[in-house]
Amino acid sequence: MRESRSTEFLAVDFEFPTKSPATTEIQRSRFLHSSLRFLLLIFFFRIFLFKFSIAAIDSLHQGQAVPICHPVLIGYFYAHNLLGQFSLSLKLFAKGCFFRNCKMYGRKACQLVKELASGEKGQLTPFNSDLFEQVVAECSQHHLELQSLIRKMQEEGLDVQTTRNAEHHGALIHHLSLVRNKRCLMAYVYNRAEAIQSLLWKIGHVLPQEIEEKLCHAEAEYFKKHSAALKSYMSKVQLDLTVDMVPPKDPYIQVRVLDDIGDGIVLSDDKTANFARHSMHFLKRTDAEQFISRGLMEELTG
Amino acid sequence: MTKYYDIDDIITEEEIVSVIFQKAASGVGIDPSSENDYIETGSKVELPFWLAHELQLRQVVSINIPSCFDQKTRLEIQADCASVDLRSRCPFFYEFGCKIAPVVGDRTIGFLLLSAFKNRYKELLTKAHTAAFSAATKIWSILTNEEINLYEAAQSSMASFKKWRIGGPRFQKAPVLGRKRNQLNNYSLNLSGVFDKKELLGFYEYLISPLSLRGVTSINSAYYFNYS
Repeated sequence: MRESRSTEFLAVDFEFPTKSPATTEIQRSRFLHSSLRFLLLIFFFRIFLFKFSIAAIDSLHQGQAVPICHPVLIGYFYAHNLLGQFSLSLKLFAKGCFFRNCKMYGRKACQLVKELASGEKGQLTPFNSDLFEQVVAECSQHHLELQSLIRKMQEEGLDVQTTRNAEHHGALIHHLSLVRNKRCLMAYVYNRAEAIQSLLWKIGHVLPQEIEEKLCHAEAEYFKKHSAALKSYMSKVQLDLTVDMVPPKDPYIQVRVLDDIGDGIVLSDDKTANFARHSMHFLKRTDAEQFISRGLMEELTG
Repeated sequence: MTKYYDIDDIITEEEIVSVIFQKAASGVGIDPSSENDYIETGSKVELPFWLAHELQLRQVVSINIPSCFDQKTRLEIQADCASVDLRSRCPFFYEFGCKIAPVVGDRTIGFLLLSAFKNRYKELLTKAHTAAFSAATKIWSILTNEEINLYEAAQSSMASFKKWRIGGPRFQKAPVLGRKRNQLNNYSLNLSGVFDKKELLGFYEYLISPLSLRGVTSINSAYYFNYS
């Protein structure tokens, strides 16, 4: 139904004037009429483009900066025709367009935090150092503006602590944005640190390559120091705390090797084993646990 | 302050509300309709909730009720709660409502949230416990984030029950390493054991829908096809 409506407008016949428009009165009026129709066509076409770009904003209303004038985006959503809620989309468009165009005031910091939330549960996303640096730069910018506003108030001779004029409110907004940026950065680092701590308990003291890539330098250091601390504690207590909490029924377990680990691996009872792919072994549970949690072996039950 | 590091809390507070400035503010570029950096008294601006809340405490702005709690939504919720698309209005509908209610001074928001949640929870509960994995996407798109947490909790408890029943292996690949293989590894069906459908379903006979039956059989066959 919508498609036919749009073609209705697009199928307007546009006749090019055969002679120059100033020859006769009739031809002049015909030219005006056709040009008016052309303008009307353009006008409605632009409205449709506008509507479809609203739909683009509507469906992308996730707090990202959307390049709304991108012709590819508009063309894409034109084809899909998501018009349903014109007024709601208009509101969202207004909200999105105006506030998102101003880059500061916590938008980037929120983006950073949303990245954390967007990964699958329990998965680490790579450390976004560019965005991190940008947010830190934003903080210093806010601080500079704050200082300039306070200086302005001091130049006017007002008491900085008690006056509540326009500059004070501006400085307040900058201060609040600064505190918000700080909160987002802290939450980002804190949640990643928690994830890294749990890594130690699940995977062990050696990190696989794919996870090392996702950590930044400071986080890798954090992991090393944390694992060293845990090792020293376990040696003092003389207990291996990273094994499974539930006591097993059988100290030995049957496993099948999924990936090539190599041969000559020394196990806890000083025997060397050859772990070729698809081979089955009868190992102690404590040895096999670390390989299973890394996905290199699979437990065979029954 | 227990929610300082909480990611959901931070994202909830990022929701945009429209405010009216009671006092002027200078030196801020937040209002795009003004040429210079000056915001005049009485101008209407869209701000994120964290900023609006703090400014309202200091009586610089006054907050209007956001559009996700307006009359249209209330009527829809009264009509049929379970199919209202709350996610498109606000992904953190309940949390945001709890934060907004003391600020805006509207006493009816609490009752609205409570009735919406009560009615939706009934639907959510039955669907979460019985739906097959493929049917999840239909209801997923209209749930808010809090409801999705409940949904996932129900699904994981069902999965653990099935695993306990069948007796799968205790250790699995750590979830932080990602899924290199197909999804079935996470459910770890027993290789040599017979998957006795009837025995399992007897327990859930009064709850199981035809959809989940199909889902169960598809896992069974696909596992054998994918086993290398």
